[in-house]
Amino acid sequence: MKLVLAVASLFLMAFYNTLLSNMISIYGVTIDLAVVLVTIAAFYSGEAGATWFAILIAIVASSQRIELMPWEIGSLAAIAVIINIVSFRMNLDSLVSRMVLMGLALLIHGVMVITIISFDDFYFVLLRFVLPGVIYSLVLGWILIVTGKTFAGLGRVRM
Amino acid sequence: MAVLLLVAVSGNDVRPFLGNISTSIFYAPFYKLKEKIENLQSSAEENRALKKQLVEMNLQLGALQEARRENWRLRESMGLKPPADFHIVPVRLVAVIEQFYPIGAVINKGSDDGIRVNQAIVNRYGLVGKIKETLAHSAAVQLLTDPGNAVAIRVAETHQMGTVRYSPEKGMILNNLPADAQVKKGDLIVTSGLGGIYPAGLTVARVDSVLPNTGEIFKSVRLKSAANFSELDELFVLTGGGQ
Repeated sequence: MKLVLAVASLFLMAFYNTLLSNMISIYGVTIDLAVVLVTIAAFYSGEAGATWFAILIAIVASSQRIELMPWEIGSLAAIAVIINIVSFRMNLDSLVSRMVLMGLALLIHGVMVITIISFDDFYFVLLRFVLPGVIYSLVLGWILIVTGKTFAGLGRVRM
Repeated sequence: MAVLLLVAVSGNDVRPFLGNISTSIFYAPFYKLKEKIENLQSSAEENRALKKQLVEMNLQLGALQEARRENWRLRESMGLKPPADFHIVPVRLVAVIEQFYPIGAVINKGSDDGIRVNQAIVNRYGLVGKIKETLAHSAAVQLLTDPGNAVAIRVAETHQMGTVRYSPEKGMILNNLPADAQVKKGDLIVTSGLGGIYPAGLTVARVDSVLPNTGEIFKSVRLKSAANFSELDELFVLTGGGQ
């Protein structure tokens, strides 16, 4: 079941990058689906499983911009490991704490991307696109965690 | 393991490989879907534009039919023969004859369908050529791009007359236009009706450039044909008109 969900998530990532991203963007603000999926996997899977999932998601997410691939693999794998360790060792089960972790992950990933792409107007991009994108992504993350009984049903069975 | 992969991906050879695998497995179905959606969107836009054009054309047609009736009444009152009445026969392109560029074509209707030699053939943009030979169920078309196909024309704005001929070196050229003729870029060129092959008023081309006068008695004018001869699709043969 977890493997099916993981493969479906990879297809969802490709679908999002190809079609969905432009359709659901609001004034250029888009969802960072890769971080949302990796964070949710990190909440509900084991460390190794979440890390491999993060690597695969990073490869699929950056296959249209291969120059970002090492950065995406590194950052998403790090996010998966750190969130997994923090949420399991500190026993963070509440929705608020998970949203805070996801928000931090989204912010760090967004800042990393604009730093690598090296936009001239860093603060403008941060305020205009990254921060609203974090909020927009958090809404999706909240919906997936609250209503996604499938994710929750996976429990804490480690991959 | 993940660190090893990260190190490997840092190399320039691994990234395209992984990118290609990911694209062919995960992206390929959605690229096809995206292409279909885009085709559907462009078809819908084209459909809307064509519907609008149809309404405009219907309005123009109504006005023109009224003008034609008036023209007939005036001709009758002056004792002149009424103008020829044409019908259009939609035909399908079967083959294109090329000599480095298209100079002829074969269509799927022939003499059994009322197609006759020298009838004009048009598409939605304008004149394409004329029927050169007919068989029972097919016909050969001599396109305007055939250097042997000259068309008697006039400049729509000024009514000055000349002939249009295609030259492999220069493209579509307007000949026999007096050096002092008033013609400028963008002017519409239509058939004059002289010569008895093409009916008057069919769009042929627009003026692309007027070459500087070098003291000759005729002006050299380069034209841009209305029809794109590399993309011929729906064609119509003008039948009737006393032919």
